[in-house]
Amino acid sequence: MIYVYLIWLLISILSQFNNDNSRIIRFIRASDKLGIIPIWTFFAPNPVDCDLVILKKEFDENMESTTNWEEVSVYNKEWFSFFWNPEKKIDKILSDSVNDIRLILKHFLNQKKEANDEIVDVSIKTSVGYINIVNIIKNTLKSNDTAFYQFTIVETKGYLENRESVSPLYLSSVHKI
Amino acid sequence: MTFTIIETYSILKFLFFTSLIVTSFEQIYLLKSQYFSKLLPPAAVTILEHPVTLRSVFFASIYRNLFKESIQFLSLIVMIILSLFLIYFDFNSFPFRVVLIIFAVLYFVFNFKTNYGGDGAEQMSKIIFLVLFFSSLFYTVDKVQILGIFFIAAQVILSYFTAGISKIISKVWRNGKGLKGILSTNSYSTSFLSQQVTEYPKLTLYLSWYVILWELFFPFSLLFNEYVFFTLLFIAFMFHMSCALIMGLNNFFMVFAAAQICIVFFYYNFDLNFLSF
Repeated sequence: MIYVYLIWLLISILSQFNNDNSRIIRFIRASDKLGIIPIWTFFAPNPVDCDLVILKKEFDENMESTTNWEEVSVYNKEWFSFFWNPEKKIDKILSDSVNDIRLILKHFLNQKKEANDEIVDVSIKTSVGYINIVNIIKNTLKSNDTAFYQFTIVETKGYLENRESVSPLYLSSVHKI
Repeated sequence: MTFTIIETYSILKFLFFTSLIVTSFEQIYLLKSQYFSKLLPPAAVTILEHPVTLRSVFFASIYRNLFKESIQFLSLIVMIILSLFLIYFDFNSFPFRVVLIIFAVLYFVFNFKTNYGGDGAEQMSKIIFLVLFFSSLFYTVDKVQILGIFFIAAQVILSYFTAGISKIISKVWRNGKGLKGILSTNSYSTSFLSQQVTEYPKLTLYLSWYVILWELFFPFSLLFNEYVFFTLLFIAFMFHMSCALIMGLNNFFMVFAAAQICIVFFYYNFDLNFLSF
């Protein structure tokens, strides 16, 4: 058993090196299906400094908008969140999902050859992150008349009442329900 | 303040399964919530994306049925009940081992590694759970049980040290802007704190260095006397508690509080001769 723990610890130490170019580290991460090889960086080296906000707009059959851009608010901390805070999970899933989209956009931006818009669009729409976001938004649609919807993801800085800046990250095409 | 190995495991399992009960209730709440309903849990997405599942309609249908809302709900209820039994039974007892094996199947089926929604608390939970599992299976060998506690302690030490290194090499952590950024968000801060960090920029600079130095020096505290060790351990405890109070990271606090018991055992009992093969 001592060998199991020693090897496990050794692999854990190796996987702390944030080097995706290393074949060993890539292999370790890909093989870890149970998620037992940790990465302990706790908000470092690049901590989060903004909130991701998703806004949606609903349309009827005639493509007339039935709502303005509205925030899809999935996370509100309460005074008892130190003990009971289930919604943080949705917030984290959303932020990881948006990260999927961000990585796809970054990937195409870094390519030397200019990517076809259609390929970028398909890559984003078939990502798990995008599907997660769409599923969450679908559950928030208000009106029975809604036939189409569109969403946008923006980054905001500053706490709720003092949001300083807003920068758009992604605007979806119009989806049919 | 020192504990025997059985006392250490008893405290560890109590804190760990209590945190799992809270997490399971949270998952039940999410299953019933407006936003999460009809959304496959991240673990399911991971399994459904697995090459075996993708290639086989048969496996895909098994997994789809497995992650139906009703099955998930039932599994969570069973996990809560089993957790209560696991808290109640003595660590080395036969019923504990039997219940733990049943629990392990459910725990890993619904907790596959995922790229969505995971965090440090989840990683530490899996480590603690596997150690509890191995230690209860090899219950007749004291050495295995002690090694398990040492292993958790080593992971906690590694976690603080890695976090310290990652922060000190980061410019935004060194100049305090990293912490200011975190404490200005809605997700990880409070209205009051976000105002304070804007009004007093020096505050985040001092706090950043306080966290960096504590994380870097924590492993070395094990070489010093009890006063130094317990002071740094108390800071660690307060760090996790403040993450729960300010950021709402409740299970991060609960799981690491459980893991800290192992550090206390490690501090009093670690001996290099113990690792002789």
